[in-house]
Formats: sequence, C-alpha cells, structure tokens
Amino acid sequence: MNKLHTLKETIEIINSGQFISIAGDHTLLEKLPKGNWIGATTPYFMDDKGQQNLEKLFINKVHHKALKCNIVTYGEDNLLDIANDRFDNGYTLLILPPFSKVHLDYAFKASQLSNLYDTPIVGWMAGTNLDNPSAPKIFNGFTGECYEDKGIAMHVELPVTLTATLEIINIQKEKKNSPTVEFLKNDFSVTDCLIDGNKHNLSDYIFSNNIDIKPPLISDYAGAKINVSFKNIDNENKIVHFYAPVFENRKYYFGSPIENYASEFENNAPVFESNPEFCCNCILNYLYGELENKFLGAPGPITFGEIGYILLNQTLTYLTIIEE
Amino acid sequence: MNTLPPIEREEWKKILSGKIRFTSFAPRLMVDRLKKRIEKGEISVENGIDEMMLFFKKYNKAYQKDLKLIFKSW
Repeated sequence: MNKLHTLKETIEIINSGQFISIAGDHTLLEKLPKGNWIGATTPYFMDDKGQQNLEKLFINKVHHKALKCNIVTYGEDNLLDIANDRFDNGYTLLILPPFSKVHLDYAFKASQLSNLYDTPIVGWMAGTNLDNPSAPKIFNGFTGECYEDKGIAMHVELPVTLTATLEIINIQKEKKNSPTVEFLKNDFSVTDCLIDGNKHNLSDYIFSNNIDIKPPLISDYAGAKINVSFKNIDNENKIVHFYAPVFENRKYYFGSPIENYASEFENNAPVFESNPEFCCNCILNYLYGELENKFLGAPGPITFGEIGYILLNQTLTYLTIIEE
Repeated sequence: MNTLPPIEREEWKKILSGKIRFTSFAPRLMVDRLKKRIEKGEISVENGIDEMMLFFKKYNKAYQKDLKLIFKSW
C-alpha cells in the first residue's frame, strides 16, 4: 500500500529489493541506502489525512506484476529521449526539480514529442518545506546520486494483461464572462498579452479589474481543462510570473474564484474503488483547499507541479492499472 | 471483443472538428494536438483520423468506454 513509513521501515523496504519511489524531507532521503528507488523532496503528503511530516517518508510501490523497471537520470542532454526510453506497455514516473533547465525544457517541449501519448508519463515537481525553504532535490537511489538540476524517471514495464491509464481531477472552472486571454509567445513570464483581442499589460489588467489570482488561467485541450497557475506579480516591472508556461495560439480564461476551497474539494473529491498506482496533488490545492488534517483523493505526495504527459498545475493527477 | 469503429464513420471527423469530445484525459490531449496540427496545415484531417485510429488500436482496452460513448455500436 502507498503510504507514509518511518525511516527504519523505508530502509527495510529498500533492502527487500522492491522498486519504489520515495517522497520526503531531504534530511531523511539523504540517509537512505542505495537500492531500486527514485525519490525527491516534499514534506507534504496525503496519507490517512493531509499533513506536513518531517519524520516519515512516503513510499509508492511499483505494481507487483511489473515485468521490468529502468531507472534513468535525465539532464538537458537526454531529457527528450524520455518518450523513446519508455516500454511499449507500462508507464513512466518522472520527477523534476522546479525551475531547473530540465523543468523548463519539459514544459516547453514535451507536448511536441511525436509519441508522447503512447504510454503514460506521470510525475511531479520536487518541493520544499515552505516554513524553512531549501533547494528541491532529486535522488537516484540506484546510484546514490542527488541532483538539483536533473530529473529522474522510473520506466515500468507491465505485462500485456495490464494497462496503465492516467487521469486528472481539476476543480477549477472558467469565470463566467471571462475575457479571452491570448499570448504572443510561449513563456513562464508575461508582460503584454491580448485580452479579447486587444493588447494589454497583463499585470495592469489584473490590478485594474481586481482579478483574484488564486485561481489559475484555464485553457481547453479538447475537453481537458489545463491550468496555468499564477506564481506572483512583479509590480515594479509589470511582469506576471506563472508556474507553467502559457502558449501562443491558445485561448485562456481567468479561473472563477472559489469561495470555500475545502468544501469544493470535498464535493468534487474522486472516490477510488482501490488506491491508484500513483497519485499526487498540488501544494496550491493543499494550501488553498486547507487540506491539512483532511483526506482527499488517494494517498500520495503533495507536489509543486504535476506531470500528466505534459506539465500541470493545481491538479490532482493519478495513474491506475486496468487488469484484463 | 475490442475492436475499432470503421474509418468511414463520420464521428471521427466530428471529433477532430470539436463537435464531439472524448471523456478520458489522454485521448483529449491527443485530439487537441491533432487539431492544432491540422490548423497549422501540418497534417490533413485524414492523417489525423489515421493517428487517432493507431492510438485506439494500441489502447483499445483502456478507452473502449470512450469509443462506445461516441460511436455507440459498430
């Protein structure tokens, strides 16, 4: 079962040889022995309840019927090989350090990979303790290496009787009567944009229209609502920064403010018949949704960005295995 | 038995024109990308349908529900 474990339990599981992914505070991850694991930092979790936990590590075990697992470190030079490194049938769990070159490259280029949708790539951005921030770290447990500028993936091969599918839960909705927002280039930071076809400084527009930036910008991908969350606004330079890139040739809409995140989450919470193979939820949902001490979705790390083939924000992302 | 609706069915074109939508995440993202490529003139609608059929051939089992919701029977 995917859940929080003590350091001692985690070491025992690693020493048993199982293929696992681990999330936790860096002080604990640094104490782990080499083995068949990948990991990264976040001290926030959904276990039996949402919590910050600096004493335990969250373990996701790979399906017991998996045929093979390959652990690969990805830097700038080989990141875009990831799609070809996947098994024909299975899935890939990818973890990236936020705002590193590999994060930016994946955000901009993953959607261009011709075979991207052949096999699920699920994953997350490493995070940090918001009360005592330090650089997010990625761990290759097989080699014992730790990175702040490289990603790590576990490619999992499944037998033909099993199929992995990836889904998301996004409770954000477009604001009624939101203008259409379009961008002039693909970027994580924006000055000017087109609002209903007219050029505006986005920062000015947000302030003059008193727009709440807790909800993200939302774009429709043939029915899939994809969020781009606001990071902050640089008032002096009038630049709006996002946690994911906005793309030209796409239409975005401002998200509708949610009066009570917590109850909205409860009303929209997915109910799983059995726990998914992997699940993660965004730190912004955890914070705005006041998920501490509440259970929502399925157990998993609370993350600083999600990956569901492409880079996602403010989204619960999960992978299930269907058995024939 | 898991099969694919015939390539001649009009629904394939309606999916690429946005009149009909899949319910699962991966098919939606795939269709979105195909629509963008068609808009840019990189591929034809027929190429787009071919790519969709290849995808569903591989993921026939996982996305039968999506196909049945749209095509009902074939």
